[in-house]
Amino acid sequence: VIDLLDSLWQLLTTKRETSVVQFQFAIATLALLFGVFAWRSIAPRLLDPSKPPTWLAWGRRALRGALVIAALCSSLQYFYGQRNDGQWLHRWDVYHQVFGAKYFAELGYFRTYECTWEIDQQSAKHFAGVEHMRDIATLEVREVEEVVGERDCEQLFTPERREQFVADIEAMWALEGHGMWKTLFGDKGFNGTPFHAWVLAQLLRGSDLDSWSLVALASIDVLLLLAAFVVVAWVWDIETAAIAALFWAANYPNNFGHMGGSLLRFDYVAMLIFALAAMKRDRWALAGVCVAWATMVRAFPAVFAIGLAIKAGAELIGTRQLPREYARFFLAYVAAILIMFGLSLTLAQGIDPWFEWIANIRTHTEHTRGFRVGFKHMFMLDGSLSDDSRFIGWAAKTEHFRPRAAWFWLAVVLLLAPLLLAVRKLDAVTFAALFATGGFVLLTIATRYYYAMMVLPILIDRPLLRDRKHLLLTALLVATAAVLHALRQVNPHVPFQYNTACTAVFTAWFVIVGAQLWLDPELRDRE
Amino acid sequence: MLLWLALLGVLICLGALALRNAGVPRDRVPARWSSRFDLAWIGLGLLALIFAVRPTLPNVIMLVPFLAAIAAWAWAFGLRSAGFAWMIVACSVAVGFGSPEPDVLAVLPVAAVIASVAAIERERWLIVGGLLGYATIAASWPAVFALAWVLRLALDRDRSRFRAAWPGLVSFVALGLITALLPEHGSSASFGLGEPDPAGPRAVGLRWLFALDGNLDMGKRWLDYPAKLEHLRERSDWLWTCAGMLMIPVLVAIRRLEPPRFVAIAGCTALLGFASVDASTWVVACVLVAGRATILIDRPLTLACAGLLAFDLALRALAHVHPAPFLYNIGATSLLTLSVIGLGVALLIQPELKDPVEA
Repeated sequence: VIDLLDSLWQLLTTKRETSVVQFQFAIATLALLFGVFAWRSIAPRLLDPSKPPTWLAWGRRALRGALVIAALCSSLQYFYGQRNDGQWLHRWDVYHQVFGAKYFAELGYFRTYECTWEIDQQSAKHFAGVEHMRDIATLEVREVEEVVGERDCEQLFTPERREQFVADIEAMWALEGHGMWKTLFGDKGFNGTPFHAWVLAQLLRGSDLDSWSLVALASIDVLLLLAAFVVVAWVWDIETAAIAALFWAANYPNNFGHMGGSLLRFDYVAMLIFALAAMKRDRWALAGVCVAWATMVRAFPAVFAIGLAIKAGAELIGTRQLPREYARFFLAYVAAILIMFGLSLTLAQGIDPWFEWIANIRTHTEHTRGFRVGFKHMFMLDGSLSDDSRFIGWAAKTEHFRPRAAWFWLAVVLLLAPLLLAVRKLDAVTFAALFATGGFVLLTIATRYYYAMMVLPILIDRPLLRDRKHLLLTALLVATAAVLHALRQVNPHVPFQYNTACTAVFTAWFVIVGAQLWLDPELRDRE
Repeated sequence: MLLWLALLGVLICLGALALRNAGVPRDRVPARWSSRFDLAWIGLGLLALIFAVRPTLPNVIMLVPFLAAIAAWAWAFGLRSAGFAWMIVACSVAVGFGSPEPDVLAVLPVAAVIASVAAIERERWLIVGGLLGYATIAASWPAVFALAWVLRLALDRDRSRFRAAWPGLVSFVALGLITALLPEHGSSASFGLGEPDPAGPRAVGLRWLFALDGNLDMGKRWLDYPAKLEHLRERSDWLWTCAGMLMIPVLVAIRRLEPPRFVAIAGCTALLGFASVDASTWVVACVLVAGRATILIDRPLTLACAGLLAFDLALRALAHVHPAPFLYNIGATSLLTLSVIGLGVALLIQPELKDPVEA
């Protein structure tokens, strides 16, 4: 038994086994979902529903137990087995989060790299060997001296803050992983919203940057996600929570190694899960606050609120009165946004950081990149998709997309049409979850790890193991994870995996949801 | 122009679905509107004919079997269904009406299969058997449609239908034998993973989604087809499992689907899952709109029309960006797989594939 447990531990905690293990979890989940589907289809003919046999209750308990064990194993693989570079702490991103937020008032969005290098040059010279650096304002990579230019960073700090900055550089250096510094300044800086920076600054206030303090801060994400799945178990049921957790861990672009072990990288999705749970429990104001948090830290979760606004608008037009729950949601949403916005203004005394953030994001999203996913990629299929040799470049892809923008928007309208036309026939939780996911896939081009959002459709307001439509749509979602993990073994070309394959399978999933909605706008199992 | 016609077809189908979902009952639509709409649709079909066909003798000759098949379709399923079927055929990128060197004989088995589904609706078993017998020997891939037909007959609850269909089985064998004496024609399919043909830039089949190694559009890391087939053989377990899973919804619905619909769906699903065929063969997908003049009323049928026209539209758009092999090996195969999975989901939920609200 000990040998067996040891082998299991090795399997679940070895990073290079991630794709194999998660593929197997995905296949097992698929088999289970299809099995339950088959049972749900034939059980009404075999059993008298008024007298369920005892073994059925035992079977259900056994299924629940097996699901919980599987979800715990897959979560262990996700939260620990997928850890970054053999270390749980994601030092690369921790640097960005810590220096971007803690020194936001002095450095803003554009001078983090330059001032880290410049001030280090005046003290320990850890980064003397770095040759190239990205100018975050233009995203061009040039010689370090050229990017740094005039050495004026010292003037930005008070003596105490400068001393703290130097100490923090030393603390980051002490985390080891020295090799990463050669390329780290070629990344694209800190891009969180000013409110995200404000939250991080509060967390980092008075905190030492030693390994254990950072691990404790990075654990907040893990705790938030665990809390989110516990809430799902409470509001939906244990089986739904376990299946959602299994999909979460297997979902290919949502690899923990991408952003896990950093600071507040998953709070937005935990908040959206809390929001759905709160809506299901008729706590609409709480839901509004949760969605406001998600919106203020990552902006794109506003698509969730837009979906609910469409639903509220349709109800208003249809019934000539706004249901109270929507009024409560939006009052809380707007109030929370205003409060959070006000708090963010205290970070650098003024609204300028928000304008800077908009400019920064605009530059960032002008062209797509290899790690990004989104429906727009289906209109940028020119050149080689799976090889660097005839790759046309990101700027050329943007150029190719422009004349096709009208077709893109037409496709978006046609793909969203069944959902929008079903707005009054679907309940608020289901509509919001589907619109948030569909809107996110179709309207944005987002970096891979934000596709954690794909867990939301599992949390529609249907009993997962009883509604056969929901079972099938969830099975297809899990199938996307299996397909993408298998594809990784076959074709490791990163832009192909994300730009093309992830986009294609998520779009395909949404097309099938749309087809189901065309056939039955209520999306209910009618058996 | 064909791209715009396909788009128009998609919009009309989706508009009809939107009206149905908005609760507009079918009896609110005056009958004269319905017949005028059918006439307008025939006009669109003629427009598609003009734009699809290069005015050369071989191309016009190649058109004849298709027009005969569509006429059979109109006889069996009504004008509207024939109009949609023709639009799906005309808008197809792969059909080759516009080709400078069309293979006239290659289209005969395709047209025969389309006509055979129409004959199944009319229960003209002699014709069904003859057409399928000829097509199976001429091109091999129609065997999956023939098999689906025999299976459906064998499992039919109405035993009299099976007895009545005996002459069809005889004509299947007879025409098959006669065809075997003719010179080889039609594009054959590859069912196993050992045969090299058709493994080329125009091949379409589920298996090509299991050979995504290396470069996909003949770049530096492009793997040639023998190497792809080698990879496929290594992954054959997964391939056949997935192909088998695609068949499950169809087989579950075998007794609940009407015979022409079952033959159409089972044939197309098996063709995609188990065979690799030349892209032009996939014009046969138009049989998926088999239904008696209920397009724009019956939701599953209307959605099938929209899906097939959207498939044509997407391939036409993709053809501007990526030629073969990506266009067919990956693009067409992915879109067809998506359609078959969508159809499978609908069948699992509602095996009769009737309008869910009315069922």
